[in-house]
Amino acid sequence: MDDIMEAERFDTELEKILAGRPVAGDVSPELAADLAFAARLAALDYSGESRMKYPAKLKILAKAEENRLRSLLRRVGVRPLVLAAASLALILAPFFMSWIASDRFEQGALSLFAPRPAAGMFHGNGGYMFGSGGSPYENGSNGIAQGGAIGGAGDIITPLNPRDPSALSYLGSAGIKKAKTGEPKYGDALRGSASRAASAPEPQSAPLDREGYAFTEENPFQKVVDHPLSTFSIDVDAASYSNTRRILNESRMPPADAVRIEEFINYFHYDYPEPQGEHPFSITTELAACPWNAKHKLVRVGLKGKSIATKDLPPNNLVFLIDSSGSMLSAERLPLIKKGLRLLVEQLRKEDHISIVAYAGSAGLVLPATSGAKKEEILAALDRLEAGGSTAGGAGIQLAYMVAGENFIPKGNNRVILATDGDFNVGVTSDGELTRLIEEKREHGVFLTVLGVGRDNVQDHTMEQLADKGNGNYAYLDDIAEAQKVLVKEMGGTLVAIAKDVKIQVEFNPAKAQAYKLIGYENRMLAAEDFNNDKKDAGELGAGHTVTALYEIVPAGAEDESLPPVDELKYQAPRPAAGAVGGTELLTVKFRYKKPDGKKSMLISRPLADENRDWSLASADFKFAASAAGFGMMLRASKTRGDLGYDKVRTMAREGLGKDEDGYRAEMIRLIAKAELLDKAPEPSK
Amino acid sequence: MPTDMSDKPTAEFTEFYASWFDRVYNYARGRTGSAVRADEIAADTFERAFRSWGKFDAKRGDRRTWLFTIAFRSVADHYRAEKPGVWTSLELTAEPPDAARGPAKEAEAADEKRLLTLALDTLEDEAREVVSLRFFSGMTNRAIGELLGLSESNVAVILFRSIRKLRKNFSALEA
Repeated sequence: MDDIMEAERFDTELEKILAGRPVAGDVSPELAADLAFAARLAALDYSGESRMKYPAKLKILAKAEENRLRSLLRRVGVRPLVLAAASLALILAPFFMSWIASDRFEQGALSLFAPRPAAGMFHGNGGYMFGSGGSPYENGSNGIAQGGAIGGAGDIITPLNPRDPSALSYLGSAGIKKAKTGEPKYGDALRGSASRAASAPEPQSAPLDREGYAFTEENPFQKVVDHPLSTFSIDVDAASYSNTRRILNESRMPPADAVRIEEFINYFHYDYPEPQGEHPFSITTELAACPWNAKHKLVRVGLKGKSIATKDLPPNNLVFLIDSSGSMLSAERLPLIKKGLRLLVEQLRKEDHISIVAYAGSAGLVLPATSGAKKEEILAALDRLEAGGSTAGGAGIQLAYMVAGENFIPKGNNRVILATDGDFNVGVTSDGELTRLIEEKREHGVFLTVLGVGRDNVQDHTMEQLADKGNGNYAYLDDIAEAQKVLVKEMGGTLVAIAKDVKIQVEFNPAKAQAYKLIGYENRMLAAEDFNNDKKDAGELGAGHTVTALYEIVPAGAEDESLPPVDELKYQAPRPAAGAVGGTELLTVKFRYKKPDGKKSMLISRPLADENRDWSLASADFKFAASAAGFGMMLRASKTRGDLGYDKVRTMAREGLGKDEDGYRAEMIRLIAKAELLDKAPEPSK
Repeated sequence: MPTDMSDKPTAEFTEFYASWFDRVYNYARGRTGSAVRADEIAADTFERAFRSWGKFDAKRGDRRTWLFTIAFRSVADHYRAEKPGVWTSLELTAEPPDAARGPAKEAEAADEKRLLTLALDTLEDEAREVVSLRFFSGMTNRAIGELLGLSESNVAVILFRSIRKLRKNFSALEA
């Protein structure tokens, strides 16, 4: 009974605390301690954490209300009035919201409640959202950009990111060499990012060329006796092609390292047969004389992942991680991403779930997991995104992976889709930590897709690396048509993996081939022993996706100047003589892959018989693939291109045009012509 | 709070939303321990509230009780939808720093908040519901009792015992 009486006494005093009045002085010490604790609890205020405090939800509600009114009044026939009322409501809503966000509200002018307990520890400042502010670079000064904070009380001061190109150009015009970063007084979180920003690598000295491409050395010809095995990971990306297209369309020659030939080849769809039987992909091989070197042969190896009809696709748990930093402002960046994602949202089914995380200055959840049935909600959240602030990519990635993990769908397609110009300030994590995070999440079944946008500062290398580590793919969106291709037409393949860690190893028969060269895939090469090592990561294959690799082969016995002579080895046992094993086989292709959720790899092996086949007999797809490779070799000014010229590349492309329903192949023919003109034109004087 | 909502319901609702959002959010946040869920529940609550705006009957209780009855149901629905999955907190990004208060105090406050939240995690579902409703929504014991099907004094006892337990757990966490 004492308990109940004490509880009643407690309740009486608690009532006072909640109403902000002083408690009685005659309570027992024990009860006083309870009440003191209760006061602390009552002062607890989480509302500053909310990311939806001033949401688009209200706009949706207003819209719903407008529609309701519209239909109601249409029946009565009072149209003009409806429109006036509806638009008034819509116009007033944002005003009202900004008023809510103002200090007046924070001071409780609107509050219906008794004053809160005077514990003084609750958070007075408002929601921590971005996207409300305009570009910080238009009105920022002294190297400090104002982040887009709503909520009045505490405007967020964001240090400029020295790696943010728009920040750089702003500073550049002021004649400052090094970005000035925020001072520690902005608190722990920002102090951290500021010092990290300060220790970030200096921007490259040439201000106009900020595109970052990793140096790649073309694969050399390898002698079969020394290197009988050629091992590489598949690459289904095609970003290099669309990026190159964008550069050519700006009437510039692409830097050689922007051209990854395998991505040129794989940009196009080839008509490989659907897989039959136990394996999730089909294998196609083809051999013909090499079109740019009559003494050589060209081999095509093609894979096609099993197609899955949209309705049979596993449910998607997609987390859009959208870079909304200041550098994303221009039309070909954030607005393009938004348009592209709108197209994707239209494809979603009710079992699919979308979340949106944005990052600029700080990371935030813009849209919690929402069913594909609620398209309007998703689209409204996308609309809300605006560029502003600097990039904290690392925090964004962490948040995105957390959201993906929280909404994990077993057997579903769980994926983070990162859309960025790649100018990453990795924020809370170093590059290494970021990579480890992505690798770790990959093991837990959350994959990563990277959508690159923008020009001048495409950090191509960073983005490809990230996608690579996350078992994902990397696409470059240069215009809305490309967004349509990647996000709508190839959604199945881009988003649903049917096999992962797909590796290819080719063993050449020294009796038939003396040397070979893998065209492209330079940064996908693996050591021979990696092939059987299931711990070694490799590319993933999406539903319906095709992957093609081309080998240029120097047949045994051919005199060839492309092979630098090496003295005969003195201590090695003589190699087996021609024809000892393998008979007429030129090579054997071996594939290893894992099921998307598998740990152990499976092996498929396919021999290819040698023959002499004229190039004119090659299939249209083979011709087109060769022309895409040849185009890349021209742009890279490959040393091993033989007698290849733009003419020949164009001829092969024309012969390989096929049906070309979408016009992608015809477009390449146009680009070849453009590149030829640019290549011949004299360099502009510097 | 005006009672005649018929002529410009959107503006009325906007005002209502602005006045009550923090309370609903705090309730959901305290109740579920997850910022993400709290946002979902708060949004869901107001959406439902908007839909049934006209159904509110002043004779049967005040707006507060009406709103938190909706919030309570929203929490229940979220639990129903989610179980047996375990809710994990998604507090990833630090609170925006408050320049006026300075980092040290900021960190201290954040720490107290974190520990209080951790302590809340130690409560049983029913106790946590009672504490969340009482402290964050400001509902009376009677209204809480009606909502949960408990007597008024029952609510008071649960509340008292929970606070004592919380205080002890909190001290243990602080130590």
